[in-house]
Amino acid sequence: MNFLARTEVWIVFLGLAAFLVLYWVIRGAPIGQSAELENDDEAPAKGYRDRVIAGVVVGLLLVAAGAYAALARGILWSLPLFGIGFGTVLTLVAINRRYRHGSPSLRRAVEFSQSALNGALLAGVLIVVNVVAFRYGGQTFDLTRERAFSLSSQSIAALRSLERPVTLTIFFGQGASARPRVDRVRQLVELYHDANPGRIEVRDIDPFRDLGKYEELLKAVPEVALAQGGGLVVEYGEGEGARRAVLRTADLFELPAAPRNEDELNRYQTIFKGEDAVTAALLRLREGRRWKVAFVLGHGESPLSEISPQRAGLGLWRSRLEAIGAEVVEVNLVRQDVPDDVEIAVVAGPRTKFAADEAARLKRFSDRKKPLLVLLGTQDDVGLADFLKGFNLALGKGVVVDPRFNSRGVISFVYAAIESRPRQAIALPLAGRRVLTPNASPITILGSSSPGGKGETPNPAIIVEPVVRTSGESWVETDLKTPRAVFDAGRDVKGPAIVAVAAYEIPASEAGPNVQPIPRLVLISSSPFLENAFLEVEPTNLDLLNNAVGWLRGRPESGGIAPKSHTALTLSADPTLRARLILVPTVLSFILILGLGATTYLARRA
Amino acid sequence: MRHVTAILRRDLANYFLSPTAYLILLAFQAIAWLNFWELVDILTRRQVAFSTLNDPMNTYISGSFAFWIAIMVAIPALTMRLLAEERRSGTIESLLTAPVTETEVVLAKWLAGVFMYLALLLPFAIYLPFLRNLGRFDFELGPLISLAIGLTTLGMMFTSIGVFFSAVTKNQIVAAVSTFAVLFLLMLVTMMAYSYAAERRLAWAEPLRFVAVFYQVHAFGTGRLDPRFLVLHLSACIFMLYLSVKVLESRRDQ
Repeated sequence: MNFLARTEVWIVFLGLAAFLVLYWVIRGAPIGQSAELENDDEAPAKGYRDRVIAGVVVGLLLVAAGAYAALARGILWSLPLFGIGFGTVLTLVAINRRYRHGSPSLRRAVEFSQSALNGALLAGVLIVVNVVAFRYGGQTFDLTRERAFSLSSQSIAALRSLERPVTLTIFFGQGASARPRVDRVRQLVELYHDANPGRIEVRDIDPFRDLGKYEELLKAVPEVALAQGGGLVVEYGEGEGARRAVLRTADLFELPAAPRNEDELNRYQTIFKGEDAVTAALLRLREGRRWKVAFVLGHGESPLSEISPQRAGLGLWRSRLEAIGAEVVEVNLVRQDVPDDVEIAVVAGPRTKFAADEAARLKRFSDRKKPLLVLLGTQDDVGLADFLKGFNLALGKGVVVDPRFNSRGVISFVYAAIESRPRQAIALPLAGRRVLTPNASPITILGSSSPGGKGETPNPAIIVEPVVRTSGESWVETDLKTPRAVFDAGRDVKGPAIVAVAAYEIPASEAGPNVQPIPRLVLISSSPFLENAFLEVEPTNLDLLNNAVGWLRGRPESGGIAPKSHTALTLSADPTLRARLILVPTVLSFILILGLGATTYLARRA
Repeated sequence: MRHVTAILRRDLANYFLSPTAYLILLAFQAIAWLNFWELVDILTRRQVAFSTLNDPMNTYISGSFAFWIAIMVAIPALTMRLLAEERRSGTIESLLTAPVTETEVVLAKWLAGVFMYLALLLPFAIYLPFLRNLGRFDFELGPLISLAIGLTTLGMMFTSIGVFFSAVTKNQIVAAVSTFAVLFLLMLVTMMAYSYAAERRLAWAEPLRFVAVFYQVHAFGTGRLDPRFLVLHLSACIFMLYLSVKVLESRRDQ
């Protein structure tokens, strides 16, 4: 039994059988029976013919064995077999071509072997083309609206930089909607696997069937028990040293509110945040430690603990930062410096003025080449004008308004576009999308051609690039007391206005084409930009903030990834419309086919 | 290659001047009608899908069992006579004694088969403009374009298999049954074998899934246009056409 279970035995049997069949076909008679008589003077002796046919068959079988060796062992193993096989057949064909008129069996052998060799060559070329397509053509064309089969550049960069194996374990949940959600998650993790098959392994565990495996998973990751709707375990590394995170499928989807009208009833729009969550978890696990973000508070900023979109608060962004591995701390500059271990400081829309001491502490942090994210948009001076001037920046007077791109008719709640051809990683994944910038001020880049920028001597080490601009229909309204804003050519400044910029430093000592710029500051001139309410209305704001943090940290791949939105459409059709939809094309089609058929019949009969 | 057009025209004329073409088209129209009826029925139920993967439009045509059965029957029926009929009636002799090469004959026959196959898909496409304009249903075009490309290359491969068996034998029934058997193997046996292997988590499940035509078309239907499948279809097509040419060449020598 063991003897027959070996693959080599079966290959030898198959080879023998193939030899006998091919020998029979070419010779015209099986072994042991005499072949047809060849009386032509030019025909060689019977024994010679049989040996030539046997040699051709052996050569062809060696070519087939070479193909098997290439598949099973590798190309190198196949080369000797291919060499001997092709060599034998080609030599025999060349020597015996002269007998093709006198010996039918040798003519058959020559023609058969030529066709077989050509076929083998063509098959080889086609196999190579397929192997190349399989290895290098794995990039599919994603023709879906929601880009369901594409990963963002951040995820691909994160996957390529993995140093340890990653296991993504999908576990099912209960409930009617659990299955389709898990299907979506599975499809996503397959994209991760395809992007780096050497590092990413995908496992499926059905808690209702794979009880043993589920118990093991529970033992390793007890949080799985809390994910009743199913989810995904991201495991970075192997064995004892592995780090794990649990993502609940319920947290990966945003479901629509109850429909209020027929139109909403027919459009079920969901948002899938899976890619953002999985990539963020991977990056967090890869880093292993939490990095600190300090929010500079004490100037009337909204509370960090409040997560309700109905109340003023910054809790939504805080929780998002924590999800991607940040430790959020609060700093009051009246009492302390920004601690040394803080990677980024955030000035989150102050309403009262910074004391000179506080501004100096902020500057000291910045002078240590530590990056800052600053959200200022107030028309009152908060005492940071000099600080911004050090980055070649100034906030202009007035509020940017836009009668066309605004939120719900409030013209100072402007939808501004992220640069469509950005040069830095903040805007790259979001290029062309719009963010909501409520009560934004225009930003002036000192020393540039932007309004108010001329005439100033800029800091030559700092380069500033616009990230977000309002539309050409916007303007900077300076008369803030008028209830109805109207463009006044004499006082107001016509748009587009810059409302977010990124500033980086080119070290003077390292000038050259390969010098790495140091990210220093991102300024968004809209104080409420990161408030819960606006992040809820426009999730792109959150993506831009995350991208800004990723860029400032020098890890652009850790920025936010835009969620994927899907709208499931229901066909709104009463019975009459349904009947028309089905019957009109059917009847037309039947008439057309029958008409064409009848016309053809009559024409042929005539 | 200048004779290809003439032979192609003759074959298409033969096909469309016979009642068989219209009968097959009527059968496909009936299947398309039932398929679309089912689709409308599903679409009018409230949709709560979470992604394009569960969109009922994705399974239009590609998920229809009747469509696949019809294709597995129609392609052998269309291709069985392309060369076998010429051999049975003896017209292949006059064709091959004319100054045309075997490659031209095979290419023309294959192209005729592909055109006939594409004509069979038209009844399914005719409903879509009505759904969009009359039903005001804004479905995604991308997956349908992907499906159309996938079904075309698949049809090219299937037709080349039919042409090969039609070249091998002069008995049309043998050609049709052989073609049906291979299509059945590619369609259903690979799908069932994959299900078996996937359930037992066997190592060869993934390679099987890659060659299983049903899953390939399902991927096309969801809007995932995988160039690897296209290369696979076209490679198989080229190889089968090469074999058909060789078979015809050997017949000429006999």
